[in-house]
Amino acid sequence: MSKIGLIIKREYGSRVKKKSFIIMTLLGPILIAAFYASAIYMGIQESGTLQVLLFDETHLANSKDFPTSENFEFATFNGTSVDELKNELQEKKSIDQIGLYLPGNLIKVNEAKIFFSEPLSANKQAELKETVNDFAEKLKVEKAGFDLKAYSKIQTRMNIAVIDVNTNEESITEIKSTIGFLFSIIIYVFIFMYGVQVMRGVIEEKTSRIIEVMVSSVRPFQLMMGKIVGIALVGLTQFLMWIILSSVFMLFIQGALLPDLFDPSAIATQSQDLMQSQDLMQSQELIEAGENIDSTKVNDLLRALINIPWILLVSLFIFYFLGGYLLYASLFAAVGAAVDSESDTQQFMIPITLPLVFAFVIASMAISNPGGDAIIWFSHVPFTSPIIMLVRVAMGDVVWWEILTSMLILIVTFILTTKLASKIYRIGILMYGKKVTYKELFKWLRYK
Amino acid sequence: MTNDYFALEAKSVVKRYAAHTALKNVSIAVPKQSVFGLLGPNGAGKTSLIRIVNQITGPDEGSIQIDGTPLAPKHILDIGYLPEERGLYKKMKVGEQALYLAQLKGMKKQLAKKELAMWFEKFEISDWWDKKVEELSKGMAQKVQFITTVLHKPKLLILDEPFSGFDPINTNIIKKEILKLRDEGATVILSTHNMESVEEICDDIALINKSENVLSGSVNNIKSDFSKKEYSITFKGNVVAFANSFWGGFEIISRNQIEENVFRAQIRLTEHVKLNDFLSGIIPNCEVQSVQPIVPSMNQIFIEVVEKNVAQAKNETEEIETNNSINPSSNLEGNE
Repeated sequence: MSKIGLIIKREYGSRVKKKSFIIMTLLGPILIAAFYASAIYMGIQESGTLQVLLFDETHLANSKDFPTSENFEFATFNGTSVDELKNELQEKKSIDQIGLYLPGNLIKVNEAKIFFSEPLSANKQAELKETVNDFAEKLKVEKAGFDLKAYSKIQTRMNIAVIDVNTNEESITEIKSTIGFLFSIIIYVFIFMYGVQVMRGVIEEKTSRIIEVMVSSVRPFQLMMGKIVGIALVGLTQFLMWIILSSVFMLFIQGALLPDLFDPSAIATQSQDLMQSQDLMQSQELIEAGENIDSTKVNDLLRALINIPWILLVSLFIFYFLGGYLLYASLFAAVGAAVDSESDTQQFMIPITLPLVFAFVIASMAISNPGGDAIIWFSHVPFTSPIIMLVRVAMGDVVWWEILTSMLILIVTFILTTKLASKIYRIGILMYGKKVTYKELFKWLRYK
Repeated sequence: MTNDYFALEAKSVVKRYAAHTALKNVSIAVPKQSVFGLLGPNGAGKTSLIRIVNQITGPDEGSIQIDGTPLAPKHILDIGYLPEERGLYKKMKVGEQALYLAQLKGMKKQLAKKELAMWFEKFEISDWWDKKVEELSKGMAQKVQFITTVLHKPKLLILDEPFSGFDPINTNIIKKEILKLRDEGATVILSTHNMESVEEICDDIALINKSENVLSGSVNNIKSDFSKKEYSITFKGNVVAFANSFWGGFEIISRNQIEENVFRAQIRLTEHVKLNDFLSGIIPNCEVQSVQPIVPSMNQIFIEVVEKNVAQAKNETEEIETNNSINPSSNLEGNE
């Protein structure tokens, strides 16, 4: 095995065997799964069955029109007036009881009333309104003498995208940009986390004094690159494990919490295979699954998920993670080489962390204003592009040559920074006991 | 004498750093299969020279030859280097680490394993294989470090203070190993302040002071060069008679009485006087019990040479200072 291969192997092996790595790798997906589980759980809580006291003056409603569902259970109210219904609800002050008043001239006035004493979620309101709507339609169809079966066949629910011609924004952009932003967060966290690991590794070699033994066997550049690449592989391993474990955990949770709400194959596509194919068949399935759920919100989410170019996004994620990491890791390595202990790193860390944090802020702005000039510019600046570009890509608000330019700039820049950093690194690793200044670092750059 | 008589030859090596020159025209020649002492006070430039040989840094001027060929990356595998500031990965296991370092020196894993097992047994540390380095004491870590330095059977061994951190027993073991390695064909460069060990195991030395090679040659030659024809002589008889017996041929540096009528004197013969002449001069006047030449220790030679150097340098700087006070403009130049 080549020397650099040996170094990569050691850097990688010693890190993935560490307890902290194993814990992080497990904890990440557990947290994601827990978050997901609590979201579902809260959804279930919210969808806890409400009893609906149905005050039906039309006397036409039956249990077929108002079937017991996940959310509602209908009971006939035997009072004689709306006030009685109100009083009943007021007295009980029950959180799982509401009232529904259908006036006798329902189809004439197109009016009905829902009474509650504890607020009712928007989703539930929507569902209940839908049910009443269906009921009214049915009455009207019957009254007009149409064939009910034929009618329900004709009845259409279109998915219509609402697009603003000025910003080219679709109504689902927010969901898409949020997903892009999630990738940004991961890249931001990974660059930081693994960049600091590179720095710590260099400081460790310096303080343990093994560095001189090492550089008598390998070139400093090999040692630095071996460490950087080894740690990059650790990062990719962790990312991969997170995806796999989260998917497994989430599937498990869905199986446990929502055994029959969703069609499992559709769920799989929705949650984990977000990453995967985008082929038409699957999309079709998804849309159908979405219609089954019959909630506009979920439908939007699914539509957004389908519309996102996953393959592109994930390959770009890997590219921008590696590119951004390589760009910053060599700088972190240089900082590690310039100091004697971690407590001395502060002054050199600022110019590294500043652009990272800045990029993060810009990326969060991109969610609400994806077409902004600053966002377009900073998605090309190599120090910020790894974090910002993915938000734009997720929204589809970017042309291929823009991505290509930004990638090229990133590659050229990381080659440059690696060269510069390796010069500082080479001198710094053998320098002890002196507090290094910026002036000195510039001097080191000029050494042969 | 052909070039490949020397395992290492440095010719007029110059190394400059931003603020100072670490090596000024330093030349050394290390004969093959010898133990070569690289001596000098702290900060003299020894480490700079060693780093150049290890290709950690490059010389600004001059050349380095190994076995008669110019220093090249391939030589890295032929060199074993034990730096003064040494260390190991603290969290790594001893065996794993030794294997890693051996592989970086180009050894095959299986061979390295076999050789390591042999060395570990020799040093009686076989049960450390799975210990983490941070669990070892300093001396224990030193042993491991020594093994990793010599494991790949380097032709040229560069040991910087190899005995520091060892107790006398282990120091002895290491000394024996060094001599054994030399006898097996290795050339050893030993950088140390421990002059005793220099006398014991070095064949040749070079003394670097203030970036320059100020003294080099074989230990025996240097010692006789520095011996000042001094002897310690024990005799029975009258001191005055002793002192007058060979008038003008010697001087008494010190004397003290050991027993009644028995004295020990330290004397120095004047130039051109032979020990035989001196003895035949005094024997009629007193009873000589023993005569011993006083050979300067390497320690004394070291101190003498370095102090002479310091005195010289002082004179030089004084001269420069006087010049500067005469011509203030040169002061400005000096600051640049």
